[in-house]
Amino acid sequence: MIYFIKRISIMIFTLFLVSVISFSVFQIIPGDPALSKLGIEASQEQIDTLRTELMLDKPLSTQYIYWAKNILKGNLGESIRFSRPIKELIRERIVVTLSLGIYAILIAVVIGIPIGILSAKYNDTKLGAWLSIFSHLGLAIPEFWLGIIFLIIFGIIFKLFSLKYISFGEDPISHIKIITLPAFALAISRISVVARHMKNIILEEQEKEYVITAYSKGLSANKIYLYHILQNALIPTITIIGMLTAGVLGGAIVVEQVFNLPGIGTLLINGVTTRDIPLVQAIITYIASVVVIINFLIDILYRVVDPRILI
Amino acid sequence: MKKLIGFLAVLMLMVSGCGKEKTSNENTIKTKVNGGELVVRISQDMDFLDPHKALAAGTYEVMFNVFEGLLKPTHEGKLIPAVAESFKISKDNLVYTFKLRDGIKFHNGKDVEIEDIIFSLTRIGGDFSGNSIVRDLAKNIKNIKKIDDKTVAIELKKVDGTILSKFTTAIIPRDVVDIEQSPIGTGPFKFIEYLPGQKLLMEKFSDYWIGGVPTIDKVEFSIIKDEQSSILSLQRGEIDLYPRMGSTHISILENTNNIIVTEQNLMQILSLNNKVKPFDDLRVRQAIAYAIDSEEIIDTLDAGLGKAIGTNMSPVMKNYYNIETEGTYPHNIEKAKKLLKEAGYENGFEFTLSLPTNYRFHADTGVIISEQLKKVGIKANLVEVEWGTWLKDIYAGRKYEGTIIALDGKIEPYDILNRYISNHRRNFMNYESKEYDTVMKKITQITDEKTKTELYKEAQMILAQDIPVVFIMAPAGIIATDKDLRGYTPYPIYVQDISTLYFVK
Repeated sequence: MIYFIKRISIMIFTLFLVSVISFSVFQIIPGDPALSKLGIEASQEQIDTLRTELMLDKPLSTQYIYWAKNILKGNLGESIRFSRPIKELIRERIVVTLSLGIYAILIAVVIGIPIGILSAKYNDTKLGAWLSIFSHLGLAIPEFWLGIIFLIIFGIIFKLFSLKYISFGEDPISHIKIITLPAFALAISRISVVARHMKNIILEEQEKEYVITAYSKGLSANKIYLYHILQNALIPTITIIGMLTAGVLGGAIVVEQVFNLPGIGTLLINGVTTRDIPLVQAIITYIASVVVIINFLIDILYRVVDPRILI
Repeated sequence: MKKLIGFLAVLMLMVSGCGKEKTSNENTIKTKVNGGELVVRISQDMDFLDPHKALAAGTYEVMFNVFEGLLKPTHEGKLIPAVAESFKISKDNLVYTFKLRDGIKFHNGKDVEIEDIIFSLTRIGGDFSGNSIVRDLAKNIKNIKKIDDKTVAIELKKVDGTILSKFTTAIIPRDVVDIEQSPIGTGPFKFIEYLPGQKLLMEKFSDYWIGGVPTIDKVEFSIIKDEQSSILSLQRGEIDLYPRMGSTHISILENTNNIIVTEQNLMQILSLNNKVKPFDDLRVRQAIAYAIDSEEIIDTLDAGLGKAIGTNMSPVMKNYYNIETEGTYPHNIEKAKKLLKEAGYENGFEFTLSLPTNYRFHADTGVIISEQLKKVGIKANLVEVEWGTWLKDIYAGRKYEGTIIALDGKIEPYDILNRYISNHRRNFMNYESKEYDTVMKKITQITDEKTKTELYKEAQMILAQDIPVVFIMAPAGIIATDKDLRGYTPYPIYVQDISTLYFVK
């Protein structure tokens, strides 16, 4: 019980810190949300009116407390740039980011796990060496570069790819087609992560006594893999997938920008360039909450799976 | 690994050759199609859909198709009656009487009534925070009188020779509670939906007051910030119209799309802060003007298509443009050096040139200008400034030494030139000239078109000689369209008129 309380209080403290830091960053960088919205033709009175409306003329602490109070009530506030409730904006776009993220994680798992198993099994052979090289390569390539290369190859040369976003509701097939490339751009480095983790876990398991016992019983190597090693290796793999989530969310911001997808990432970047403080605050807090909660769940899961862990 | 590199090299070669596709046979006669769906690429998002509040040029560019005022600008830069059928101006130039157009309807199917006009022009009064056009009009309205069901008389507080262009203020229905959520006007297209940061959709308004207009059924204004993605979409046929494209892309698209080159009502300037030493010295400004070679910039960055200018007016404003301002300070290194010596800067000086990062064009111009200035011993230290910062510190705060930007023109020459009036809030170059202020004041007090034009030309000449900023060029407007799109009409203002467009097959 004490363990849970400790975890939860750490989680809340982290979120508080994140919100304070993101709030402060806007005070450091130059720019004025009112001016960014109204542009160069606006009069001083208009800018002042908007600043008052947005409480920008109030002290920082007042602004923060007002914002935090609303957040706790579940009110994310209104975007300055779009004059619309942030909740609506996020709701419109979260689907894109989620489908992209889930798709990428699926790809990473479906491709990564077999590669991991193979490279563990053929660890000391030429094939294993090749697999290892590729997984290092996958880790090293940044998403945005991969995205651009994909665009050139599949978009311009082979004309297989469309840049015009179509929502899932409009046409599910086209939607999946459109997010396939970005999902791959996002997944490549994660495939390597999954594969390497999988390989290490299996190599570890192979050394364990029960495996040696199984061999001595005369079971075939394939059977041992299937019934013993893989079963034991899957539990840590689940936690890896949890860990991927945070990375995928971060990567999605970049990939959405490259592929011009109307997701949370493009909304966030839009918010930063137009100094839309409430919008950026809400999105950062939102993403941070998701990451923190997932990490919390992983910790709990670890604890459930393996009671020996004492954090 | 070697193989992989080889594969990539082959790919790169294929990429470089991909612009040369066979186009359809040009010789077949094509016929006009009724209807069709059009996708227009825009780079900026909307600020307000409420036409009286919208300040961004990028919003007006789009909503021009939805809203109309009593009068409406044409592609020749003239004003024609729209919601009004005709108008009269009293002898003392204080009363403007408008007659309502017969049978004109709003997009919600209701007839436009005099009360709607009165509502629209009353709404913008008081402490309504509208855009500059709306504010200028509201400030000068003394009272609005309904004469009968077809006529309304608007009395002004004082004579204003530039008021006519302010009557382009949108007329909106009096019974719509939230115009921001449901923008209803009388234009050729009616608003359907707006997704912030993504797109704005419109469809043909079949009850439009000009019969047979428009032809296109549906329009999507697609907000794509990234230029490369836009070009890609254009090549793939996902975008049909790409206004204001950079001239660097022409060669890629020549075979697959139609390229239209027009003049733009836009002035690119090297703004110098006249309150900062040494730019407060006319000789220094003249020296910089002599040192800069506009033609080189135009050839390098604008495919040789832009026009060098000598004042704050684009040649597109045919009736008002003072051609004699051209070549006031032709490129001349010797003269520049001589002037610098006279001003006491024989060994040159250093200054900070701030460049807005979101406009590659201006940033690149800065690089060329810094090279050109080196030849006369002036060192420009280039600093890239993010747009939000540019707006706050440079434009509003006037804390800078030099910067490069383009000022967009308006339909009314006064609104283009008023920025240079000493106490004007948009005078971010801190220019002060009593002579200039006097000429500009005179303009507002007269209504005679001919005299006004003379005064406009005089004002332009003062700027050309005084050179508060260095006028670089009026960049060419380049529009790329689908091969089968016809009827594009360039305007001297920042709008896309969709009503004249149609597809052929």
